[in-house]
Amino acid sequence: MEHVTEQDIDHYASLSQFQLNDDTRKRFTKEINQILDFLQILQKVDTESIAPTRHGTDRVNVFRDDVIQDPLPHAEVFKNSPLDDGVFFLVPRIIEGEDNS
Amino acid sequence: MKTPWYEKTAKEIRDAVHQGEASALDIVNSFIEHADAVDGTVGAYTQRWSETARTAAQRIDEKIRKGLPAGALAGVPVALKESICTSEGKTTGASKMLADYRSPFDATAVTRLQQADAVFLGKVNMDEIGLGSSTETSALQRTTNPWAPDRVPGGSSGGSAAAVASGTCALALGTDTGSSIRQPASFCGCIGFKPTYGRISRLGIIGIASSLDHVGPLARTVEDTALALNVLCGEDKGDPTSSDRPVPDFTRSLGRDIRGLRIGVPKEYLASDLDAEVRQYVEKALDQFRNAGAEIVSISLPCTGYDAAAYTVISTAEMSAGLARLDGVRYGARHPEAKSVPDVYVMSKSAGLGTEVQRRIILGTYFLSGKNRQDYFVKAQQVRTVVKKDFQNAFEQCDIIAGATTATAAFPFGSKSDNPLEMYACDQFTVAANLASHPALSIPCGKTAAGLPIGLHLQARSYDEETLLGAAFYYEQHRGFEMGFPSIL
Repeated sequence: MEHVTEQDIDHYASLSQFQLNDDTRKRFTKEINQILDFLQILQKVDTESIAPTRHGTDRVNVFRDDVIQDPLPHAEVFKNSPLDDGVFFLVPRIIEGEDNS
Repeated sequence: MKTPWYEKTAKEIRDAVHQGEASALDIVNSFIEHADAVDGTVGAYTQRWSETARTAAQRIDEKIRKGLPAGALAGVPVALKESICTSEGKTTGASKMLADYRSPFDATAVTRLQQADAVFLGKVNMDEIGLGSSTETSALQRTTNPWAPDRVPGGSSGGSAAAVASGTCALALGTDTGSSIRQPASFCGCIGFKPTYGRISRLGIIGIASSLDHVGPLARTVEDTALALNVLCGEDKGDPTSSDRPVPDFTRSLGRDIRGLRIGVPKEYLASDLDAEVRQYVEKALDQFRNAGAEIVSISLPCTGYDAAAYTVISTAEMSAGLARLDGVRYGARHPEAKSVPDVYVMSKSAGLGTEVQRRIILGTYFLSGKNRQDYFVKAQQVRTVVKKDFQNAFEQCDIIAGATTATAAFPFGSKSDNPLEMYACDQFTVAANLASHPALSIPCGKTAAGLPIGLHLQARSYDEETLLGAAFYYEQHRGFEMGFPSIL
């Protein structure tokens, strides 16, 4: 039976960009293990040579005409931005080096 | 005494406006005043747009006065789920992360309703980002079940169902990834309709799991549901997964003779852990269909049980990828103390998203990591194929599949919050329709001794919404009771 440890939960939390406190880590470990127990039922289904269903739609290759459309104006694009200069979204410096500011 | 407008159906309202018997403004004011009186208790509305609603109503009245054609939902007051993008007001998904988000555009479903001259009264509550079955995970407020203030309204579209049931709108829009329209409709005693995947555009919906997400209406009558579907359904160039099949006039399926209709009852549904009162009313509904000349057929859906497991894997895996966009970079609440790019992600997401959202994203990340991808995610997608096949086989023996929408009526606040598996079990009869893409609805079939609504769940073949509506309409006309309005109001 597959189970996860608190260390595993920390690992998957960090992959998902979450920082968990001790209580939440404990709680998630317990709850996710309960869910994994429940999911064992999937192993009972014979899926040998059965193709996966990846989507709900029955459409394939939906194309549109290659025409230029008006983009959203900058003001609209940036109206929800936490930080921007009107042309770019701003985030803290990524590459260390000479300060050009 | 004259029936107040807020107790009338969308059809009655639309007809009165078209025929000039009532002004859209009077109608909208009746709903606004009723919401002023009762929504303090219910808590369905997160945003009230009373002034813009009055202005919109006056524009419709002006059209009528000038003899211009008015739309198919002229003057009909509508509430919109917080996860549906509107250029008016905010679109928060009931999450702290999107507390100040203002959409630059309207969802296609919203545009279609507006073009039909519906009037938006505001936005309504939901579980955060749509993850939950009780509306308790909302970061905004608590919404109560209008039939019992100590009970949840269901979820995630709990605000939509509570608003329809309490008469603070005539129609509401919800979204349904596993049960989120039908389960709250069942708990609140209204009709919730999930159409075939792709019938209604998803453009402008805060998506959770793109292969399972649906938009649909909640209403008080089957006829109102059909009127809403007529407006909402149809191809949208902005959503390449929307269906390009022709859309029939759904109102024409109402009043169909149901003699000879084959209604399949999966033996697995009745064998499950159904509450005694729920079972009693579902069986009573089946008797009514039988007495009307429908043929009740015993069928088998071997996928019952593992469909919910496949759903858990697929939905969380899809949301772990899709919800990575809620990171505070281009929009959303960026943590003010974030000093580095990793901080922006980790601090903003950890502070902005609630426990249920975090748990499901972490779980979905687990399913997509390393060899788990094959063992869980691809396995669940293969099981999804088996589920579809099971339903194809079942629909060779019957035209409709019937059962309970949920195993119990609405539960008390807090009773399932600490047990995600119990909360997920709320979806046990409904998720298969999302996995297999076919249409399904919940319609009230009775009330428990304690006065809580019970929902009958009907499912039909993909794109056969008409048979579904025809059967539901017949049942509604002959079920022998009126849902009415909750007495607390």
